Amino acid sequence: MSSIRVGVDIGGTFTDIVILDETGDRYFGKTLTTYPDPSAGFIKGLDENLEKYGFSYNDITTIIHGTTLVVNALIERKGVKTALITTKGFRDQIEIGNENRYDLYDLFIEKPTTLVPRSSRYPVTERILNDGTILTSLDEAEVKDIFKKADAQGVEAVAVCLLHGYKNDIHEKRIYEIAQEVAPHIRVSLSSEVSPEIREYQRASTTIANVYVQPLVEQYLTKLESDLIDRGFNGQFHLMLSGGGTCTIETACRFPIRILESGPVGGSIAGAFYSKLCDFDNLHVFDMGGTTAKASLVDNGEPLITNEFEVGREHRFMKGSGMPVKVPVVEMIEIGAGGGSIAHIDRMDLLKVGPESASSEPGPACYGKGGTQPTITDADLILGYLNPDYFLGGEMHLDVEAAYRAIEEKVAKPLGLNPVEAARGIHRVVNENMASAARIHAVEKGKDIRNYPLFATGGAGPVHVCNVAHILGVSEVISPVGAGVCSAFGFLSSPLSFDFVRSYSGRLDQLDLREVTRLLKDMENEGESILKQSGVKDADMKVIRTCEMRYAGQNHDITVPIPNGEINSASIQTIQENFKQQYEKLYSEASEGVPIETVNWRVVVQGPHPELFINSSDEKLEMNPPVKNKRDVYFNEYTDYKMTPVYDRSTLTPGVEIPGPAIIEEKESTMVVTPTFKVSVDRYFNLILNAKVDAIYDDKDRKQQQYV
Amino acid sequence: MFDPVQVEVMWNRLITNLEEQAKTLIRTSFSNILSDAGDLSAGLFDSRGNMIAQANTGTPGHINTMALGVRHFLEKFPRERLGQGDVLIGNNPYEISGHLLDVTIVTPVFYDANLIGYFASTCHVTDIGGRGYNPEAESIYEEGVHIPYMKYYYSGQLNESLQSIIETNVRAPFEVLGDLRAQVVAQEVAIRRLLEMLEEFSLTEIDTLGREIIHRSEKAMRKALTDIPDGVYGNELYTDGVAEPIKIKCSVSIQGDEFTVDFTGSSPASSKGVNVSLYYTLAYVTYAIKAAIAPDIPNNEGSFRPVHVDAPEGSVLNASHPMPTAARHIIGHFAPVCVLGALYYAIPDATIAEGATSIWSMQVYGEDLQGESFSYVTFSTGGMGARPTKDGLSATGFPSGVRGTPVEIIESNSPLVIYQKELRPDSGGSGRYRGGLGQIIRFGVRTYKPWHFPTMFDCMNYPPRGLAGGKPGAKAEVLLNDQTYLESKRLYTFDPEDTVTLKLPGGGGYGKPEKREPEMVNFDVVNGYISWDTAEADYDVVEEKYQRISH
Repeated sequence: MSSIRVGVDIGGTFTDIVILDETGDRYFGKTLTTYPDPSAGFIKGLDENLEKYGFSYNDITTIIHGTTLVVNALIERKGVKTALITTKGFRDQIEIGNENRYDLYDLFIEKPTTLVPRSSRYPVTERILNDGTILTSLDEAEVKDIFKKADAQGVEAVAVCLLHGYKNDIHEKRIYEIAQEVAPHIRVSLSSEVSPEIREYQRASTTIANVYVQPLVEQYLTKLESDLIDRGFNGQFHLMLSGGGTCTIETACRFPIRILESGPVGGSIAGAFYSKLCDFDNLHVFDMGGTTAKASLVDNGEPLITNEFEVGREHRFMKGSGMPVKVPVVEMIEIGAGGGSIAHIDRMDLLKVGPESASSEPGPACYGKGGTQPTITDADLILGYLNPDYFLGGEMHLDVEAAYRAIEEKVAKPLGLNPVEAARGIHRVVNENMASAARIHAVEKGKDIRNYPLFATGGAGPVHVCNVAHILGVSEVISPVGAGVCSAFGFLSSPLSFDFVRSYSGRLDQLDLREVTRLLKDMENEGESILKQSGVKDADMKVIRTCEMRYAGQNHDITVPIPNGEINSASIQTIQENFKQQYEKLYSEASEGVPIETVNWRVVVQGPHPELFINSSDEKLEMNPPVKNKRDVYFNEYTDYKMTPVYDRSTLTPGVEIPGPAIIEEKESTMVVTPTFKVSVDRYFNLILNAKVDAIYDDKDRKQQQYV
Repeated sequence: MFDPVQVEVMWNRLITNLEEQAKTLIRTSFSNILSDAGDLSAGLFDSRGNMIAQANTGTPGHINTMALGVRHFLEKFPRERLGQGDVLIGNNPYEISGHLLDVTIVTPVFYDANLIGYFASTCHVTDIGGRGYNPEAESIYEEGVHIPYMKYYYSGQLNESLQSIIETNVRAPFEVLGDLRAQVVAQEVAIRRLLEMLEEFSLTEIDTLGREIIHRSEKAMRKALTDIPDGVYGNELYTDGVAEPIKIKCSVSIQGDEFTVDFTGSSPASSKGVNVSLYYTLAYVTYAIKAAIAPDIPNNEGSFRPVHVDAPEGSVLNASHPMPTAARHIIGHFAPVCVLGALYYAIPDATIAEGATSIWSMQVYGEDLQGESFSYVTFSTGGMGARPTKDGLSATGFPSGVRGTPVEIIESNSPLVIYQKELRPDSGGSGRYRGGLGQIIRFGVRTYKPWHFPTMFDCMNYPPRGLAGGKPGAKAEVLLNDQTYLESKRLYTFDPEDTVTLKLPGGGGYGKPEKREPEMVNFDVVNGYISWDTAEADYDVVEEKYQRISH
C-alpha cells in the first residue's frame, strides 16, 4: 500500500489533479469541470487518475482542494436569499460604498449590485461608539420581529454588521442568540467573527458574502466528503484558503469567504515552494492563461498577502468595480491579457491588445471555430512560437491561414504593416502591457521588479516569459514541471493554518499593553483549538503575529512583525524598530518624531509545513538533447524568421543546456527561448533560463537605422 | 520616424513611467487628500513645455491646469536659467489649478547636458495657511502663502529660506513639507526611469516621440469633434452663490473640428473665495467633453488643442489677482455641467442630467472632550443625474471623483458622531430614468465647548434639473436639530448638544416619467427609493398594478 497526497483544483474549464507519492513521484491529471455539480468531475477525475496510476482511495493520506465555487456563486449571484441587520441610520452603507466613480471618464458605469436588496436590509435600534462604549442599547424586541419577518419572507441567511462591531461584539452576539431562539434554521454570520476590521462598508460586504454562499458550500463539501468516504477514503480532507494556508471542512463551512480565491492562489503557493526548493529569494509568479494574465510576488519564500480583495471586477478589471471583501488573500494582479485577448486599432491609429477576449467560444481565429478577431494566440502562431499540429499535445489543430487573414485584415492593413510585422507588434504590445502592470504593482509594494526572477506558468506564460523578462530587466526565468497544473501542486505544500484579526487603534506609545496581550492571546487560543481539532500537536504549532501600522495622519498601513509572548515596554521598543525597518524598505526613508499608530492586529496560527519530496536526479548526462524537429520562428533580435530547433520537454534531463533560440514543447504549453537566453534543466527537471552573459541587445544598431 | 508599434510601445512606457511617479507620490505622501482622494496629477512635458502624457490618477481639476501652468514656470525660468538638480515650485492660483492649496513642482530633465523635458506634479496639500479651505477670505492675501515661481532646489540644494517660510506659515508643516518632498522624490524616480528608457530605445530626446503622440491625439480628438453636429448651443444655470445666486451661462460652438465655449453672461466674481481661475474652468470643461465623446483619448497637449474656453475677465469663471479662490470647486464644478446641458441639444444620447455637482465637504472644528483643538474635514456626495439609458448613480460625485470616508473612521479620527448616513428617499428626480439619490447625514460632536461649522454647500435654492422631460432632483437642505434651516455658505457656531442634518440633493431624471418601466417603479417603491406618493404623483401607476407586480 502506498501513501499519497492529492491536490485537486477545480477551475472554470478544467479540474486539475496532482498526486504525489512517498517516493517523490508526481502524477498529473486534467479533466473537464462539470456543471452544475463540479463534485461529479472531482470524483470522476480522481477515480480515473487513481486507477490509471495504480492507487486506491485508502492510499490517500490527505486531499487538499481548491475551488472557484465561492467566487462563481458571488459573481453569478447564486447564493441564498440573504438579509442584513445593521445599526439604525445606516441601512445603505453597502449601497453608498465609497461614493466614487472607479472610471472618471465613463459616464455609464454601473456599481456592483448589492447581494442584499434595500428591502431586505433591517435597521435595528442600538449604537456602539468607536471606543466600544454603548450609546444606545439593543432593542431586542425589534430583533425578534426582524427575524420573524425575514423568516416569513423566505430569508435563509442573515448577515449582522453593526457600527463598531469589530470593537465591541456584545450586540452582534446577542442578535445571534435571539436568532437561535426565534429562527434557528436561518444561518447567521456576525461581522465581529467573519471580518472584525474597521470600515463598515467592507466589513458588511464581507459578512454578507460569507453567509450568502454558506448553504451552498456546506452542501457541496458535505456531499463531496461523504462520496469520498463511500469510496474508501479515510484520510484528511482539507480546503485551500485564499491566504495560502489550508483548513478543515468545518472551518470552510463556517467561513466560506476564506476559500474565495482558493484555486488561483495555488500558483503563487507553488511559486513560493519552488523559490525555497531552488534557492530563489524572490519570484515573480507569471501566470498567463486563455483570457487573463496574473502576476504575484513571492518574497523570501513567502507570497505577499493582502487583506483587500474585490470579487468580480467586471469593468475592465478596474479597481473599484467589484465587491469588496476583507479576508487574507494572496496578492495578485490580473489584467486582460491572455491567449484569447483581441488586438484592435484604437482612435489614435495605434495597436492595442485586450482586455476583450475571444474566450474559448469562438476563440482565436486559428481555432477554426468561427472566430475572425485576431488574438495573441494567432500572433504567436504566425511567429512560429506555437506548433499548429501540436497544440494541447496535438488534440487540436490550429489554422495558420485563418490567423494570417484575421491579422492582415484587422491589424496589418489599417496600420500599413505586413502581417508578420503586425503579429510581432501584437506579441510585443501585450508583453509591454503585462510588464507595465507588474512593474506598477511592484512599485505600489515598494519593490524593485528587477530583483524578481519570473516563474512562468499557464498555457501562454512560457511563450511570452522571455520577452517580458527582457522588458523588466530580469535575467532569470524558471518553468516548473507540470506548469499547467501548478495550482493543484501548490496546494500540497501548504500548512494547515488560520488567520485572525482584531482592530485596536491607538498610538503605539499609549497602548494598553495588557489589552493588547489579551487580544493576541484570544486569537491564538482560538487558532490553536481549531488546529488541535484537526490533529495538529501543540509542539508543531507556529504563531505569526503582525500589526498594520502607520504614522499618525497617514492612511497607508504597513504590516509589521510583532514579537510573540507578552507585550511589554521592551516589545514596544522592538515593534517600533520593526516599523521603522519596514517603512524604510517600502518608502526609502522613515521619519523621526512622528507618532506611530496601530490599526489591525493579526495572528496566523499554523501547523507544520508538509515535508514534500519531489523527484530529483543528480545524474548528469552530458549528451546533446535530441532535436525533435526545426521550424521557422520569428525573434525580435533578428530581421527575419530563423530556423530554430524544437525539443520535446519530456526528453530533457538534468544537466542539459541549450542556447537560445530554441523552442521546447510540452503538452500544455510551449517554452519560447529567445536568442538572449540559454536554458538548462535542474535536478528537479525545472527549466532554468538565464540571460546570456554576452546578451547585449545587439539590435540597437538596427533600431537606430530605423529611426534615422 | 517611428512605426505605429514603436509609438504604442514607447507611449505605453511613458504612461507606466508616470504611473510609477504618481504611485510613488501617493505612497510617500502624508496627507489623506493624496492617498484617499487622489487629488494630484503627474505629467511629462517636452522641451518646450508641451504636455506629452499624464498619469491616470489625476482628478479633472488638475489635468489640464498643470498642462497650461507649466508654461508659466518656463516663462519665468527659460532653459538657460535651469541646471541639473534644479527643482521649481509655485502655487499661483490664477495661472495653475485655481487655489493656493495646490502646489506644483516642476523638475527639468537633462540628457547629458541637454535639457530634454520636464516632469511636473500638482498636489493638494493639507494646509497653506490663511483662513483655510473655505470661502471665507475676501482676497488672496487672506488665503495663505502665495509661493511665486521659484527654485525649490538649486543644483540639488534645498531652498532653506522658502522651506522655513512654508514651515512657519502652514498649520500642518510636517504633512505639507512631507508632501512636497514626496513630489520631488517621485520626480527623481521618474527621471531615472525615463533615462533608462531612452537608453533602451537609443533615443537622446523626447520631442520627436512627443510630437508623434500629440499629433495622433489631436487628430483623434478632432475626428471625435467632427461627429458632433455643427452649431451653437446654449445653456444657463444658477447656483446658490454666496450672498446672491451665481449664474453660469455658456454658449458652445462646434464648427467642424473646433470646440469653443464662451461663458459670457456668467455672473461677475464673488467677494468670497468661490471664484474660479480660467484654467480650472477649462480643465473641467475639457473633462466633460472627453467623458461625453472621447473617454479613450489620453490627456495631453494634442487632445486639448481643439478645445477653447473663454470667460470674461473678472467673471466668476475667470478670476484674476487678488480675487479669493480657496473654495473654487463649489462653483467650478458647475461649469462642465452647464456645458453638458448645452451639448444635450447636439448629442442627447451622450449627455446626462444635472446632479448634485458640488462636493459636500463637512468641516467641523472646535475642542474635543479632552480639551484639545481639532479640525476635521470629510467629503460626501449627492446623487448623480440620470443617464439616457440608465438611472443616475446614488451618492456618487460628478464631476469630481472624491471618495467618502467610512463612518467608523470619521468617529475614530475625530470627536464627530454620525447618527445617520443613509440614502435620501424621493430625492432622485423622476423620469424614464430616475436621478441618483442624495443622502441624509445627521451628526453631532463629542465636546463640552461650542463648535464651528462653516457651510460650503450648494443646490439649496436651485435643484439639479432633469433632461428630456425628466424632473428635477430634490433640493438640498441643512438643518440644525432637525428644526432650523441653515444657509448654504456661512460660518456657524453651535452648542455641544446640537446636531446638524444634511440632506444632500438628488440628481435630475432623464426622459418623461410616464415612460418608465412599471417594474422599475415597483422596484423603487418596494425598496423605498421612492415613496408610494411619488410613484402615484409622477408615474403612470395604479394601485392594482402595483400589487399585481409585487406578488
